[in-house]
Amino acid sequence: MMQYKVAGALLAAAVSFGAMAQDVGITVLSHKVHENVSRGLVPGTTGGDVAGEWAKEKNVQLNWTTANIAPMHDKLFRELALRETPTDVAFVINKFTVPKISALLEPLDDWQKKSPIEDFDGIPANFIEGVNSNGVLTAIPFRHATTGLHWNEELFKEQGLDGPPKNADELVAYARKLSYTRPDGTRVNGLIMNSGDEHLAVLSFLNMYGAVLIDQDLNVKADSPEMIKGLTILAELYKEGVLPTNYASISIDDVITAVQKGRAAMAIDPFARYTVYNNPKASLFPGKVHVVGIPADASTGRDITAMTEIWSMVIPKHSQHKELSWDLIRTLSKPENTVRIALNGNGPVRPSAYEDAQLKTQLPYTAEEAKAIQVALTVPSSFNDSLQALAIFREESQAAVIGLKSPEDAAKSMQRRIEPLVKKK
Amino acid sequence: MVERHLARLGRGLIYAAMIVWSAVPILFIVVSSITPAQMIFQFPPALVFTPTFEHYLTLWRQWEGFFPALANSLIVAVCATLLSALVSFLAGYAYSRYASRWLASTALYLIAIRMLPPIVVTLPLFPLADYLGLNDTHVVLIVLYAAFWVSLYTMIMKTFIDEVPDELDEAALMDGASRLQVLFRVIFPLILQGMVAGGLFVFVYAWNEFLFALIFVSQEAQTAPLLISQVMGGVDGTEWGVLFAGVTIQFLPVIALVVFLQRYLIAGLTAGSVKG
Amino acid sequence: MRKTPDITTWLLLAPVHALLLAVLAIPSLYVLWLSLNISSYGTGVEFVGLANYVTIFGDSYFWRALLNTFIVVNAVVYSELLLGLGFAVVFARGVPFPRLMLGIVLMPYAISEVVAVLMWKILMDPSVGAFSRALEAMGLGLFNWSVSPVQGLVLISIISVWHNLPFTFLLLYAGRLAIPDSVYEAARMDGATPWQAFVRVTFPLLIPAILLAMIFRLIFAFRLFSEVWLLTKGGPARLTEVLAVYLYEQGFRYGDFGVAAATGWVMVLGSVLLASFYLYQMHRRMVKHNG
Repeated sequence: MMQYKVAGALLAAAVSFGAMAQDVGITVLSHKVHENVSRGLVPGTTGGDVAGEWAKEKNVQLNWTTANIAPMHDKLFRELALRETPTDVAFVINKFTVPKISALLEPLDDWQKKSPIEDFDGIPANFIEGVNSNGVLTAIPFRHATTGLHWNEELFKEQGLDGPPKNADELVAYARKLSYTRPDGTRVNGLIMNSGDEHLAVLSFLNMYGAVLIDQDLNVKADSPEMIKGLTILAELYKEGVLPTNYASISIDDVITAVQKGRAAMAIDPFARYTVYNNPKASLFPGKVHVVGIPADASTGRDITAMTEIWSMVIPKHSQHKELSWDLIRTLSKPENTVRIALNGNGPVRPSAYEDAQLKTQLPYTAEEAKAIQVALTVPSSFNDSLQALAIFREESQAAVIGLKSPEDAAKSMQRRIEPLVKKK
Repeated sequence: MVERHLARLGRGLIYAAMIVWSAVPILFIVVSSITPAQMIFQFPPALVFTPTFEHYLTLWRQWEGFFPALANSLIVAVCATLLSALVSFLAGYAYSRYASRWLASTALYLIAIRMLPPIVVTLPLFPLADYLGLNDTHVVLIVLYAAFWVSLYTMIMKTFIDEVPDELDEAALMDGASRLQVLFRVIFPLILQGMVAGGLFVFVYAWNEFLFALIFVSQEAQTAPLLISQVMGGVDGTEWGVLFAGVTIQFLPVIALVVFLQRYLIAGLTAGSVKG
Repeated sequence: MRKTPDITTWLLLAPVHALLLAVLAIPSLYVLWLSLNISSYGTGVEFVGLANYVTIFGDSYFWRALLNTFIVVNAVVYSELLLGLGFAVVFARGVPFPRLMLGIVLMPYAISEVVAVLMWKILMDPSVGAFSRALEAMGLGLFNWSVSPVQGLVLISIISVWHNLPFTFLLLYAGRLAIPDSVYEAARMDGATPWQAFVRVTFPLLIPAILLAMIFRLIFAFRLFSEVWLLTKGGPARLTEVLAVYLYEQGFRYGDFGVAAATGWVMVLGSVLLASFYLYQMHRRMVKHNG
């Protein structure tokens, strides 16, 4: 019957369609931002098309698929289970590279021995540790997002403050002072952070007082006095209206919009957000939003604190083009290319990149960020249930801050629930 | 006299409420797509501003996959609609003209099978599609979308065909027509408009569907919702103007389709009956 | 008179059932089997019997999600029924510019679900949302949907209704239009008021359409996901989580496919139970009518 003919024709067309796409090519799976920085796709950036040049030189077709963070990882993980993975190189974020996933990735030690990455030691050891587990090298760091404190100079002036806070107590006091209504009727919150669906900013705040959720040796410190202190302060700030009322549902876009429109005076957010906050097209305060390291409390013995998330490059175990994939990773990791990619808007994982003159002129905060990387902590993902642990942190901390639970109860509950997850191997 | 005016006022308020309820959020999107980026989330909303098309330009320049994605969406949506329409038409006829306890049970099964959440079904379907070489093709989406709507579509077809008297079938058969000819020459013209109504559901679903597209497709058959979601998922926040521009463009063809199919819908919904 | 099925019947039904078999039925059976195993990305399957079900039923978050789902589904289905009937009656009586009005009323359905939720999230933002500020100005207080789970669920329901009402409305409107005017004329001559006409004439004759609309709306509402995920992410503190969100997190965030499969089948059970009354009515009518 007719519909079978049509279906058959469609099927044939689709199959041939698919076949055409399988010429000699490398398939890369990442978030759009990685494609943008590796290929210089954002107009106005100066780094050039690093990946494209490599592809041309090797006579390889570069197929770059992008998706949002969670969907992209879901897609990759499903593919890892197939006998032949369509994806050859993927960019993954550290919180998702738990041991059971790392087991499905190609071990890179041998490749590193055969054709090593230039100046591999230029990548900080704590970054390498943050994305690999069980002592096997499966991921090469590519990009970092480290938290800093953004502050709006104009709003500060309106409330009689002329510089960023120098320690934790000052930050809290400033935040209180900066919760006011502007002359034009805009309500300003003293402090904002991505508290709805991420953990990094809130953990950074708590880390001001030295609180850590899980330390690098996998000890759970959720019920430490520092944690309770930090949560108590956050709860107070929420009650006073310093933190936005929709604390529990704030997303990355809410933070950005709030800062751009002057509805938040300070924000804990990755350094790289600087460009977005000062974008004259979208922000009402271009050039007025500065970023510094998050000031730590004196009791911690440090000046600043920071937390970081790391994106790295991996090769699936069942990739069909491992040699080419490793070559691409090597090329993107070269020190000179790291600088070029940084000029395209990436957060480079090599501290040496921060010495580059061009980068320094382009991004006024390079010195601050370089300092922050030195002290930046990651949340360990070297146990399989790390995502659950993060979800528990979000849930309990939200409950504590908006007043559903006391900070002590929330902290104890976190400890009780997360400890067994870390121990479970 | 006053009563009549009050009644008119009441009705007017109801119409106004229906319009505001349906249209305001969408107007927000369309208007924002031509608002300069700085003013998009102003409060109070800026009522006077110079419209700009910069977002559409940025969409064109920075998201080059967008228009091919729209084309893919169109292919998939049209084919899925045609496939499901045909298949449901045949089945709807069967359920209408024949009866037995067993048949009624299969109809129930048709509905019950839809109760499993689609996301779980993707677990076995993804490796299967890969094994068949169907990943990242239009076919896989077409088949999936059609399969997910034939249950309802069949039931809709059944209720419309119920309205067409059996006698017409009998008469045609006695005149020597084959069952197929009865289907396409006699029944089809009479329920065409009901078919359009059901087809609209499938088309809109296929046009906006995200989950299956995300899992089964990556590049060759990338559909518009996938691309639009990436505009929203920027690591440095969303470029709202560009997003709204993309959404407006993606939204317009569907509205155009609805407007175009108006006459079928109003008239079609009249001709068919669900009296059961 | 409806005939008893013969070979032609099965031929006509073959395409539909082949499609469903391949895409839904067989995979569903696999999922049932999967629910009795432990499985994750890249691992095989390991048989564990009913352990997954035990885990789920022992998880207080599952029961909270079940409760929330139950609340939202009922709120959504019955609101849409009322509103859909209301809209259908209004349209049937005659609206000015019927084609334009129909187009406007159908618009929410044409837009993608994700975008719809996003729009509402912006419009209901406590500081800058036009809707929420308007509500505040009207003295209805601060609508704190991100803090109060009850208000969160209310907003989620409102968004779902906004998006899906055209679907319900279209099915009910079809049924309403099919009722011949003669029936109403007869009622009017018997002295029936508009309300009586609705209760005695419209409603009973609309029952098949109502059944169809409600069953499918119920099926769709039971697996409500985007409205929750994009608005509150199930928060604050997982208090607005629904079953589909629970399933997604357990199954796909944490990669526990066995639990995901089990939750899926529990949802099937839940849907069937909730819709059982309507399904039975539909089955009864089909057998009656076709007998």
